[in-house]
Amino acid sequence: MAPYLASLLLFGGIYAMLALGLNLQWGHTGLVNLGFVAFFALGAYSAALLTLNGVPLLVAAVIAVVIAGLVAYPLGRLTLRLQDDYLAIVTFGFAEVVRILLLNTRWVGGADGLTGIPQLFGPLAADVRPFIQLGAVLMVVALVLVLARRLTESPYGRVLRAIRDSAEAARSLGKETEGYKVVALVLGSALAGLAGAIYAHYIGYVSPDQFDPSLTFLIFTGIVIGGSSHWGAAVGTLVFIAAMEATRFLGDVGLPISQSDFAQLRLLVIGLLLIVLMQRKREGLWPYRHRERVRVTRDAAA
Amino acid sequence: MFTQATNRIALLACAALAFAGCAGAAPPVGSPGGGAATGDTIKIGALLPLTGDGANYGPGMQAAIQIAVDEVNAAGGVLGKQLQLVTEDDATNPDQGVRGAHKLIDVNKVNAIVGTWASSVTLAVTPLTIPANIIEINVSGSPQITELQDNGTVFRANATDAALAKVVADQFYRDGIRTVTVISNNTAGTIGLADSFKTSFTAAGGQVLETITYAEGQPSYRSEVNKALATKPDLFLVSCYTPDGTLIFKEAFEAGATGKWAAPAFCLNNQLVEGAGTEAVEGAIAFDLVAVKDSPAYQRLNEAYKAKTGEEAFDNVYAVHVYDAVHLLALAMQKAGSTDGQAVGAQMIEVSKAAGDKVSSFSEGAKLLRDGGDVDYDGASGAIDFDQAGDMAPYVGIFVFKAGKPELTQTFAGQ
Amino acid sequence: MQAAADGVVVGAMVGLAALGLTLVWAVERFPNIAQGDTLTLAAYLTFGLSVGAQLPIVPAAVLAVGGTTLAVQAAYQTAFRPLRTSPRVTLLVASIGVALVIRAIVSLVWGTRLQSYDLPVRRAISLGLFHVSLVDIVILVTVLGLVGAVYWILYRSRAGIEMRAVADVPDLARVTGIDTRRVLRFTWLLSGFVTAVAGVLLGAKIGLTPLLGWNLLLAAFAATVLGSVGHPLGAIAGGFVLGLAMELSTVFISPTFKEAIAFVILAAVLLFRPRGLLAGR
Repeated sequence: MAPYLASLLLFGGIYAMLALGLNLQWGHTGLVNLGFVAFFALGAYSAALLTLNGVPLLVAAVIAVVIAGLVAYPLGRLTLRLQDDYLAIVTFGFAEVVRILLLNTRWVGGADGLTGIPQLFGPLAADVRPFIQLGAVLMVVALVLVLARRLTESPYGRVLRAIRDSAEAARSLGKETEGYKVVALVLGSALAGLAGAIYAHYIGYVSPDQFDPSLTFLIFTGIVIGGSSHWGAAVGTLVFIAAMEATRFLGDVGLPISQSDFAQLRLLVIGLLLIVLMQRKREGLWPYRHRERVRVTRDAAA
Repeated sequence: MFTQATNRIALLACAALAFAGCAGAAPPVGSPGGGAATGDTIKIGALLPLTGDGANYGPGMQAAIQIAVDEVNAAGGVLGKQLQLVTEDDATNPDQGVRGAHKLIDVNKVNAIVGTWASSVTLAVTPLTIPANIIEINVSGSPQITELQDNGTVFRANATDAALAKVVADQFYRDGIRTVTVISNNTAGTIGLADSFKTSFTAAGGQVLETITYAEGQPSYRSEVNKALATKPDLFLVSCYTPDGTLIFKEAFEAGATGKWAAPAFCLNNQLVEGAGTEAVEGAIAFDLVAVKDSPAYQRLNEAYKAKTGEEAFDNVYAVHVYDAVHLLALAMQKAGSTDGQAVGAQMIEVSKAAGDKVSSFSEGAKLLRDGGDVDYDGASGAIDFDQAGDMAPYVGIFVFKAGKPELTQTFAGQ
Repeated sequence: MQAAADGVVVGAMVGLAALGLTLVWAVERFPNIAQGDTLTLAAYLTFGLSVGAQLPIVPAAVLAVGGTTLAVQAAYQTAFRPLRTSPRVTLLVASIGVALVIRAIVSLVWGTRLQSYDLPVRRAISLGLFHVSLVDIVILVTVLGLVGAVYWILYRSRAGIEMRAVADVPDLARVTGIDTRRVLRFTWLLSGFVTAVAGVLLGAKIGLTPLLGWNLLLAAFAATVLGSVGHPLGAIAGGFVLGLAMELSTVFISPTFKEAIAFVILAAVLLFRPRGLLAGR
């Protein structure tokens, strides 16, 4: 049971990192990036290709982060003039283009993907490794959480939220909104790149199948469940993935239906869960509210 | 705010854990790593594409695995213990496959995992099964699976793309076919078949005019079909799965295609005929490992499979493969006298080898083994022989569709 | 020439899938992920009624359209209506939930293997330079008929004019006394109906798997945006542009890139017309 929970939390931690990145874009700046998974893929593939060619993991991770961020920059420059819905679909398309390119490029493995990627803390014994890996990932998540909070509590973060709430009002205050949006896009995507680098060296294998749009939806769902505070986004994603996996155990208690029907039933339960959760907790479990109000009053007092 | 949030999380985490914990409170079985089988059952994990792109095949595979497990149990089980089947859905997605495999290995403590279908799922899951020292039997096509450093625990209950393609390429050449155009689905298994076919067919002296790759899940493949038709080859080879293959055969027929068409039987089967129409597949050639429709194992499986699913086992060759996989696994465990991955792996090769007495069911085989004999399991998918890399020699059958029915015309013993 | 004809057919199919999407998107302001699975549901209902319950194909299709329209309305009433004051992404996530529920039900009832309606497959009809099959012609005619009908409803009928008012300026519409609830109900009815018809036809063309509609969703999104959200003509036009681009591109490069081409075209168009082809008309 313990190694299982460790692996589940590891997935949760990696997804939480993705959620923090996406939340920076959506929750704090209002950008609906439906192609977020592309940056996760870019991070995973570039880090994997580097370590497979003998580059140390730490260096590879840094390069992966830079690559993911760099790709986001021109995409942001080109597309941020678009309205919400249009931006959502263009980014969605961008992710598909990335996936199709990976699928058709033989030197990155094509449909077969890349195997034999070295494990995080590979030299450690197999029975302790998952726990050390988990500890490391949770530490990175905590660090990112702290950094993200500092960022959004800074004056810069307030501009981002002003943009989210009304781009025109922000512009009228003399803020060049586009530049701020691009930075949010780049930072969030870089974070996805980091998550990708860690993921590749945890799971040891990357292929285009792992980066389909459903992962972006999964992260959005986590954020919406948790609410758009950093804490909420990270934990909401973790809770969602845990709930999804927990439904697997319903099959073990011996339901009077076939196992293939159970797999469908599991989808049904997850679907219903989403519908009900959205109605019960409109703004998620941990909405971005409380701290904000304190800030505003303090600002007003000053 | 912080303490409030922490409380809420603690609560949720407890709830989630309690949920997972209580439902998953299976009695702890075996030592960590799943080596020995203590307790009164041997657990077999089935990790199958029950949803997602592979769902056309997954449920049938589940039915066939269940049939095989029931047969083994009816014959008294393995080493005096009943087999217990635990099934997980991999959703045809490597991430979900890995999470399912973690549960099977760490919580259910299975002694083997059977059934991974997509090459990407197999390649993502084997890094877990190899250190856990349990047997992994897949039906994927990718050549990378052969090269895994697996201590002899990973087996492919299916022909490799290369082996299947070689037999077929040579036969086509012997039949006087000199030029072929390949239309291939761009997944690891199907593109592997297309590539291997090109290599073998070129080596045999033929020519592949063009390889046209397409993405799965398109609403139409007319442009692909038209592009292929324009090359006017002696034969069209479609490396497909049934859902996309059906559309291709239908659209080719509508476009007025004539000439010879061929496809692997995991794609071209009665299901495809139902969707594309009898005329569209008249004379088309299907090839795969299901070479022995008159073998006792196939007939036994087919009867039970029909009763369970209402379909012919031929329509899901992967179901036939996993049925055999369970039998070989059970015989190998019986012979090894344990469930240790490496020990069973060595015996998987032994019980498939032609050296022993031929058996076609677990009850015959187990009896022979108990009497100290040597067995060679000849299954529903042919006279299976595993090599050291865990791949199978291809016993290929070639079928021709006449009036909508597949007729076996040739079989090839593998080398 | 044949590639162009193929492009028109593919475009019509994508346009069909996009037509119902664009209506709801304009009024509710979110891309409905359950659109794809609604198409799937309509196709499977037709299959169930014709092959399962042995009804002739036409009454089966009519009943399936009715059933799907009702199912969409039920989904609206239970899953989406309670969220009318929520952020739009909440609706998006709820629509993922609805999509999963529909897909699970379809898989539970009809299984996950490939199914087909019991229709004869015939050689295509040659029209000199190119050939088309009978189903293609039915699809083309239906697309034109449906888009004409939807256009008429939106621009000539009172319900449609109210719908457009709500889509354009929701607050103003409410102030001027338009019953928003009724408009929403009507929008989901119309969208459900159009989507159901599309689903029945796409089932005939593509064959039935639980992923039938989901696989078309991305292209439908692209077509909707390309043709400007809320424009029925735009959805069809967007479908045609994408369909033609995809099929014509296969003359020059490998077909495996054709989806990628669709998105490059989409991005290129939006750079010059940020709100799609028909915005502002």
